[in-house]
Amino acid sequence: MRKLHLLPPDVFDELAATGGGPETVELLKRTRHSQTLLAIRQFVDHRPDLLELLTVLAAAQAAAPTRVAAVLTYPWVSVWISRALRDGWTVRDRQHLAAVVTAASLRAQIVEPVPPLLLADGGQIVLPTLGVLTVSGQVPRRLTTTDLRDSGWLRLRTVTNGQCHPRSEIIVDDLDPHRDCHGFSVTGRVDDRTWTIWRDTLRNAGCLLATYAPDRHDEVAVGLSSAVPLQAAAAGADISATHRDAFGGFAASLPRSPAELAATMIHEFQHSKLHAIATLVNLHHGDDQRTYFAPWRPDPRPLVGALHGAYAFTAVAGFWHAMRADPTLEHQATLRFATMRAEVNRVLPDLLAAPGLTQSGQRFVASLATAAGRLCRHDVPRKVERHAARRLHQLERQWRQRWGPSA
Amino acid sequence: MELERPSAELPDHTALPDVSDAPLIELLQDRDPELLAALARLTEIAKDSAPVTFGWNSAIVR
Repeated sequence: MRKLHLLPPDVFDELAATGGGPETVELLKRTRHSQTLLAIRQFVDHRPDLLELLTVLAAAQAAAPTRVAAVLTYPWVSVWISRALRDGWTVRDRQHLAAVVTAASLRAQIVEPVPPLLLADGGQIVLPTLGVLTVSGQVPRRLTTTDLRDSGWLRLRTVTNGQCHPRSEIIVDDLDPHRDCHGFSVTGRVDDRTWTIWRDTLRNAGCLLATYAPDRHDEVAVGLSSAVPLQAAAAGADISATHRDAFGGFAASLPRSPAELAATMIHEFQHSKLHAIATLVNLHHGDDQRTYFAPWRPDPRPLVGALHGAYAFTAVAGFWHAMRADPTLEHQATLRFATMRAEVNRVLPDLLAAPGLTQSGQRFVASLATAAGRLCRHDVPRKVERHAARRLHQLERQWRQRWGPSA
Repeated sequence: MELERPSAELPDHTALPDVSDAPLIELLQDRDPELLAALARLTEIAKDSAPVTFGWNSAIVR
């Protein structure tokens, strides 16, 4: 009997209530690992010429399974392999698979010839999780760590969270071509000044989370593995995004402050969690065409979009409530908390009645609504509460004027 | 907003095979019909679904 990924009901309920904890996050990460391995297995049936290459990968896995899993579950590797599965295999995919196998072999510290290692445009070999090697002259038959010290080597930069969580690492990826998958413009290689901002803000965001929201901190410390810098949008706007297949990866414009980045990390990781849950449990029927009002967006949202928003913002509302304990952020945090709390509690009753939910989907939304309802136990100043209610009312009125009462 | 929930065990599982601990060398040679069916299902799901990205732009509403 083959082992399946099954979510126990109590774990499902915890996830639905926006939590889960680090062990559950590991479980979700394993589902992504399975999906990638199954995709690899699927390619072999159609492309037996890949077997030689994949045998090298298997040797690396046998030598260092955890290190190889870190490459195979790297968000931009997941995006690439899912795209290849969906759209079909191309010559470039053969090229990238060789690079993935090379990266896995280097991480496993085994030196195997990778047959044949091809070059991407510009004479480059993109090694996921490691960096980019620009090759002048003959293409190497194999790479060793010595090659990663040459002048043609550009390494990816990693942020470790120092004292707050020594084992937590996030790769700030400004090199991997498959990171460009969010519909927003990515930056190129960021300069030293920008990198310093990313590094310091990620570290400080991690410390804020460890101090004020330790449960969230423990989840993102285990789950988030890569951040992709995005180009700035309109003045003053923050952009962030998560791709369905990129578990543990997110993209964002340059963070304005540790607190804003911490909120973004929670928000985006909730999307990752919900995408992963949806690979294990069908939460909705695919044929539901209804749309819903979501105060955080100007457009009518399909059920899945509204659910993702409610899931992310319920968690972020809880974060801002926790941040009210920080004397320097109390006012901002209270305002954000009251606003988001009002928004999610407006949306969730509509979702509870959504006919497109499966039985498990109804259970999921019920747990989420209970979690959002619990946020209402916390007092906020009456003035702030009134402001949040007025703002919500105004947004809904504008939305209904534009889209009509039944959108 | 405490709500009554169905008490039954969780339905609607996708039954994704757990191969996360499988040695790749064995997986590459695995011809088990259950696995092959799962692979076909995985490909079908991938082809039927467009890539989804959820983005957030603070300037849109705020």
